This record gives sequence, structure tokens and C-alpha cells, in this order.
Amino acid sequence: MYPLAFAKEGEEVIVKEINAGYGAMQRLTSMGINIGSKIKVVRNQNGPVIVSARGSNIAIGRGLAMKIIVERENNER
Amino acid sequence: MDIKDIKGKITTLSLIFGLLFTISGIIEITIGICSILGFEIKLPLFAGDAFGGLSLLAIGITYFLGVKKALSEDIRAVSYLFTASIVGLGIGIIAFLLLISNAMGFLLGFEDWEDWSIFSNLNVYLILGILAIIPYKIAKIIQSTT
Amino acid sequence: MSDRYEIALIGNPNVGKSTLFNTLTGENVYIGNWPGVTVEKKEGEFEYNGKKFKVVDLPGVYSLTANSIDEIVARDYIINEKPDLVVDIVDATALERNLYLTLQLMEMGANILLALNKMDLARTLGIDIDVDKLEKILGIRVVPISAIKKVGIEDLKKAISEEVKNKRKYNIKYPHFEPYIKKIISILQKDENLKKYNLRYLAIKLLENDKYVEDIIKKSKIWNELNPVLDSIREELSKKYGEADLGIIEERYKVIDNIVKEVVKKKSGKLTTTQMLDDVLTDEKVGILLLIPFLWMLFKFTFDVSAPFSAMIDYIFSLLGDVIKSSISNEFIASLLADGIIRGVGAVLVFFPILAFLFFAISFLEDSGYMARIPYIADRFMNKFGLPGKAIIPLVMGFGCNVPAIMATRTIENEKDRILTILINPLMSCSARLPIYALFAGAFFSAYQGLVVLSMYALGVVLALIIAKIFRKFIFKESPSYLIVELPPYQIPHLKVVLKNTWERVYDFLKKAGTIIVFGVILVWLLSVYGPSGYLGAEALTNPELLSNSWAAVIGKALAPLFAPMGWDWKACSALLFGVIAKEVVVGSLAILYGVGEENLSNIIVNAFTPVSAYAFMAFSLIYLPCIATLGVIRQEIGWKWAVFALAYEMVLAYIVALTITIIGNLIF
Repeated sequence: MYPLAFAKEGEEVIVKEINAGYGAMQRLTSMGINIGSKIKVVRNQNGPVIVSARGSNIAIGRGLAMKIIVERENNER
Repeated sequence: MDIKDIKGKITTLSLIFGLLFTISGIIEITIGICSILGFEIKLPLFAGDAFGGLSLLAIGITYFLGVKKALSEDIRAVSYLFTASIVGLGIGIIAFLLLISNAMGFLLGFEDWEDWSIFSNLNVYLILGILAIIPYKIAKIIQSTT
Repeated sequence: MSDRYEIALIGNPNVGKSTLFNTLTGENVYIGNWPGVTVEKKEGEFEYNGKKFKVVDLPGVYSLTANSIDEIVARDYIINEKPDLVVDIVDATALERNLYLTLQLMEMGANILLALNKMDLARTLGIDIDVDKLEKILGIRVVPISAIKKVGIEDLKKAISEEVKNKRKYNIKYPHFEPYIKKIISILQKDENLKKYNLRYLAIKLLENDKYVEDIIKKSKIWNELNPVLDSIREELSKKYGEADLGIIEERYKVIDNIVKEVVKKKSGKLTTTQMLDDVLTDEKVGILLLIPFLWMLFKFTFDVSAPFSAMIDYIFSLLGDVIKSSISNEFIASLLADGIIRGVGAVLVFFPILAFLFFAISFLEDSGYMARIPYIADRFMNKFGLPGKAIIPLVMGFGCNVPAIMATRTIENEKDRILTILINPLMSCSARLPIYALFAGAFFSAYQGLVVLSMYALGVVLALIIAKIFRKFIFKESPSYLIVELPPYQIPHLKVVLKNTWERVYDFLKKAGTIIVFGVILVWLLSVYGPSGYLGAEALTNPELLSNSWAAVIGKALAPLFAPMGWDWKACSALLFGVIAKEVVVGSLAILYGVGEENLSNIIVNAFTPVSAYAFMAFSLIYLPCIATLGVIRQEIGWKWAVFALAYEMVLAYIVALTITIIGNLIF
């Protein structure tokens, strides 16, 4: 388990914890990112992270991405 | 589609347009900076807009990055060619709208447009913008075959 | 005995480690448990070229940070048993993820060989890995294989038999951490008992707050010397990375990023338009670069393409004013209508084309999908100044006119971010201030006109960023709101949607900000045509003698002592008062007040100002207050309270800056 900010481009991960405030949590949930959801990291350079969740691309600021704890999807191929 | 089959085409195209935009951009920036420093340089096709020159340079650099991707056989070379061309096209459209709008000001006889002639709007922005249609179309064709 | 070696297989889960183990060892497998724990331990054997190799299959792990029993087992084995060779099996289709473990193995100083598995799959996915380059960068042997298809197994065996004797030196460095590592190693060296460990590994693990390593060092005699050094380094790191142990993790990933960038090429694949655009437009560096042409287009479209329409409205209103003046005989009413009301309404409507074009462009970019990406692109840069990424659009638009710029802040969702962005916007030098700069720069600094004018723009930007930082610290104490934004697929904008959005926004401006602008223009008209002695007549607007008896002059004279340190007379102060209508009015007012035409103005002001007081005047004009239109639009967007606040802070700031320029200028010259 590690912060979303450290996930690699192209990696598929599962959200395990969101340690952000109520507002940010609500916002994320409404956009399809909640605990247990599977997301794919589309872009992760030094700035914000772009993930694909339930078919749409969402940009998440790096600060927030540090507070979203994810785990790698194990059953690859 | 494999990058190997189109590597040569993309490299050449990106290189040509990269050079066109970069050189024009640098000239435009130079003229712009000179006029700020107090030396007026008049060159046909160039407006002396440093901000605009920077824009052309940015597009030129994007083309060059496409060359780099193509040489290392990365399929994203197409993305660079495509995006740089779309932005170049956008510049061309704005330049065209400026031409129409200035012509209107001239025809209505407002004093700000007294010295205007059609040649002052036939500039690098318009020409490069129109030319960018070529790589744009080619990138589109490549995309449709992937 | 010399021809018997022990090698270990390690790798992430699901990299094909078991398959490789079976392929290498065949039938000779012994299954047991690792000492003390219930983790399965598999051992096997194979022979190559007359040498015997004992193969130990380590548990599948992602890292060696000892978060689980599997990780502890693997780490302890490598540290304590010191196998002759560790074969790190890496999934070629997910090199980035797999190299994390590789780096950790290298930190431990183990003798490593990289088996690049699933090469066939990678090839069909269009992923191309430059094996030679990877070997060179990592400094370890890399063998491409496909365990399932049994491709490359003989090569691997051969490589293993060669590498068991080779103790390689690794090249991987952590650029941001080397000084710390060096410092720690220099202390660790002093204890002979630690020599059995790899000191570099101990140092890195100490930076990572690893308890296991810390316990080893705590028993050492150098602990007392090391502890304070370690504390100060960790403190430095927590400042930089949030938490010290996150720093080294981030650094590893950066190193991996660089390796992968060099080595991995995606050669083919399906491309959608959105993917192609996002490959470039959301790239960390190119994305920012390409923001320049987009901003240029936005700027040109808003201010230049709209220009003839503004000229048309200007023309109609001045025509209307002339008609009224010549057709209404009552001079007071004629002037009230023409110089007050019509001019006021004109001042509002002149913005109509600019705003219509701006909102058209912004709506266009919004509907196309690009607008949603701008905060993503500019976020990191703008956050340095306590501003959200989207603030870059209003700031650049401010160079044209602050009114549309402030309306462009509507794309910022968070209210505090938006207020902050609005408050600093008037500091971006709009085009109306250019005539003032041009007049003074031409009169006093003719040789360096361009530079002096440019310095005003630069001053504005620098002040805006500083003020943003200060306000963020003292007024809006939270950091810029978290960025969470959906990036929709790109599309060709729908004209209907764009036009509808444009009209709604322009209408809003006309309705709300319009009234205050009209009112402001009428107020300034009243101050000019009335004086303490009563009504002066409409000629006051063109006659300096009369104007010097007006309320405007009285206010100017009252203000003059305040500005005496800068060396400005009351006429300059009155001109600033008129600048409230629009900043370019300052120039015309100066001409009237000094009783000369605008063309001769520069000859007069050369006597009324010194170069220093002129420069201070320019700076003051840049900052002192938002024009009525800007004020009106600030009130409309965020209310009276903030409009007054903007006015107050800008006045204070302008005074401080002008005074500073005067003092420093007089010291130098």
C-alpha cells in the first residue's frame, strides 16, 4: 500500500484509504473514486495525477494524491 | 500500425514544420525585443509581436519533440505531430479572423485603421497556420490506420 | 566445493517466478518452511557446464521495506545468507513497477542478475525494451526470456554461471540524497563491527526510518555521534517531502522514471484523438509550453478581433454626444446628458464587444475540453504563489483589460481561491495604463522608453505574485483547494452551447456592473462642473482656469500635501482622481489641468516632474486603484466588502511603492 502519487503510469490500483477532509472525500466519491474502486493511472509526472475511474479521466492534485492510499491490482493477466 | 513503417514520413514532416515555426518564432521574438529596446526593424511577413513569436516557438519545439519520439521509434510521435499542427491551425484561424476584423475597421473608416493594408495581415501567423493543415491531415490519416 | 553455488530467485508476485523456477530445476525440488515462519520455502538444483547451482525460491514481494512476513523473509535471507547471485525476475510489460524491487536489491549490495520475463508479450503489446541500454544504466547483466515459452533459458543459465563469480559495482545514484548518504557513511565507517554490512544500504535505510536497521545501529558505539546528524537530516527531509521516509521513496521512483524513459518505447497501438492530444497537452513540460499559444490566441481574439466593434460603439456614442450638445439649448442639461450619462453608458458598452469575444473564446475552450486541462497543467507552477492553476487565465487576460479578466475567474470553483485571484488582478497592467507610461517614458526616458514601460508591466506581475503569497498567508490561511477535476474527452465545440454561455455572461455584466460604472462617470462629471462657488459651467471640462475652481481641484489640492514627498503638485493629484473613470483619462486630464493640448503635454511635464518623481508617478498609476469599471465588476463578483478592500489595499500599496521609489531614486541620483 502506498500513496496514489507514487503509482506509475499505466498501473491499475485499488483505493484502500482516503485520508482527506470531508469535502474532498465527497468530491472524489461523486466522481467515482471511493474506497474499493479500481482506478487506472493515466498520467503521473511531477504535477497532479490523472486517473481513469469508471470510464472518465480525472485529474487529482498531487497533495490530495498523497492522501489517497492505493494497492496494486494483483491479478494481472 | 507500427511506427517503423511511418517513421521516415513523420520525422521529415515534423522536422520541416519544426524548423518553419521555430525560425519564424525566433525572428518574430527578435524583432519584438528590438522594438522594446527602441530599434524598429521592418521585415515583410513579420509583425514584431514577441508574445506571438513565443507561441510560434512553442509550437516549433513541440514538432521537434515529435522528431525525437519518431527517431526513438515511439508511436507518440504521431501525437506530437497532430497536436502541434492543431495548435498551429488555431493560430492560423486567429490570424485569419484578425485579417477580416481589420479589413472591417478599415472599410468603416475608423482612424485606428487609417494606415492598414491587407499586407500587414498577410503574415507568418496566417501562412504557417494555413500550412499546418498539411501535417494535420496526414496525422489524421495515420491515426485512422492505427 | 568451489563449483557449487547458491542462487536465489526473487520478483514481484505474478511475474512468472514459479514457472521459471520449475523450468530451471526440473524435478529436483525440496519444499519446506522458512525457519520460524509458515512461509513455504522451495529449493531446487540444476547443473550447467559441470557446475552445480542450488536455487532458492524467495517469496513474491513488491519491495523489501519489511511490511510483511514475506518481505522480512526475503530481506533476511539476502542479508544474512549472502547468496552468490540473486536472479531478479522482472515483468517486461510492467518494467516501471518491477524496477522498484530491483533498486532495493541494489541498495543492499546483492549480486544481481535481471531476468526480463514476458518479453514475447511485451512485443505483442508494442512495448520495446532496449536491453543493452538497461544493462548499461543499471550496471547489471540483463537477460531477456520468456519462461512460459522456454525462450532464453539457456542464455539465462549461461549468464548465471558467469555472474556468480562476478561481483559487480552498481551505478545507481540518488542525486538528491547522495550528500546525506555520504555523510552518514562517513560516520558508520568508524565502527569496525558494521563492516560486515553494506554501509550504503544501512545509510539509505536510516534515511527511510527503517526500524530493523536502526536497531542494528543503536547497538553500535557510533550511535551517539550519528543520532543528532540523523535528526537534522530527517528534519530537512520532512520539510522537503512532507515526511522523511517519503523522500527516498519518491527519489527511487524518479530514478526509475528516468531509466524507463531511456529504455522503454511504445512502438504501436491504437490512438484516439483525445489520447493524442493528451499525450502532448497534459505533458508536464510541453503542456505548459503550449499554454503560450493558447493564451496568445485568447488574447488576440478578445482584444484585437473585437477592436472594430468597440470602435463602432465608441463612434456612435461620441456622435450621439455631439448631436445632443448641439440640439439641446440648456447647456447644463446638454452637458449632463452628453458628458455624464451618455459618456457613462458608452463607457459600459465599449466593453460589450471585448466581453462578448472573451466569453465566446472561453466558452469555446470549455466546450472543447481544453479548459478543464488548464488547471492540471498550470497547477504546480501557480501553487507556488498560493494560487490555483486556473488563475493563469485571468492573470494573462488582465494585460488587456481587468474587467473581462475578473469575469474570467468564474471558472475557479473554490470561493477563496477566486477572491484571491480577483484581488490581485488589477495589478496586472491593463492596456489603458499604457498611455500614461508612454507619456512619461517618452518625456523623461526617451532612450530607454521600451524598457521603462516593460518595467512597469514587470512591477505589476511581481507585486501581484507577492501580494498573492501574502494574502494567502494572512487572509486565506488554507492552501489552494485540492484539484479534483474531470478531464472530458475533447470534442469540436457546439456553436449553440457556446453562444448561449457567451450571452448569459455578457448580459450579467451589463446588468450588474453597468450601473455602477454609469454612476461613477456621472459623479466625476459633477465634481468637475461644480465647485465650492457653485456651478462652473460645462466649459470647466476644457478650460483649466475654471477647472481649478472645481471640487476636483479642491480634492486634488487637499491631497497634494500627502503626495508632497513624491514631489507631485495638485494638478497631478487631480489627474489621478480623474483616472478613476479609466486610467487612460489621466493623460487627458493632465493636459486640461496644465492648460495645453495633449501633443505639447510632454514639454510641460518635463518641468513639473523630475525623472524620479515621474517614475514614481507611473508606478502609482499602475497600482493606485482599480478603475470604476473594474471596481464595479469586483463588487458584482464578490461584493462591496471585497471591492472596498481591493481599493484600500491598492491605495496603501501604491503609496508605499511610490514612496520607496522616490526615496531610493533620490539616494541614487
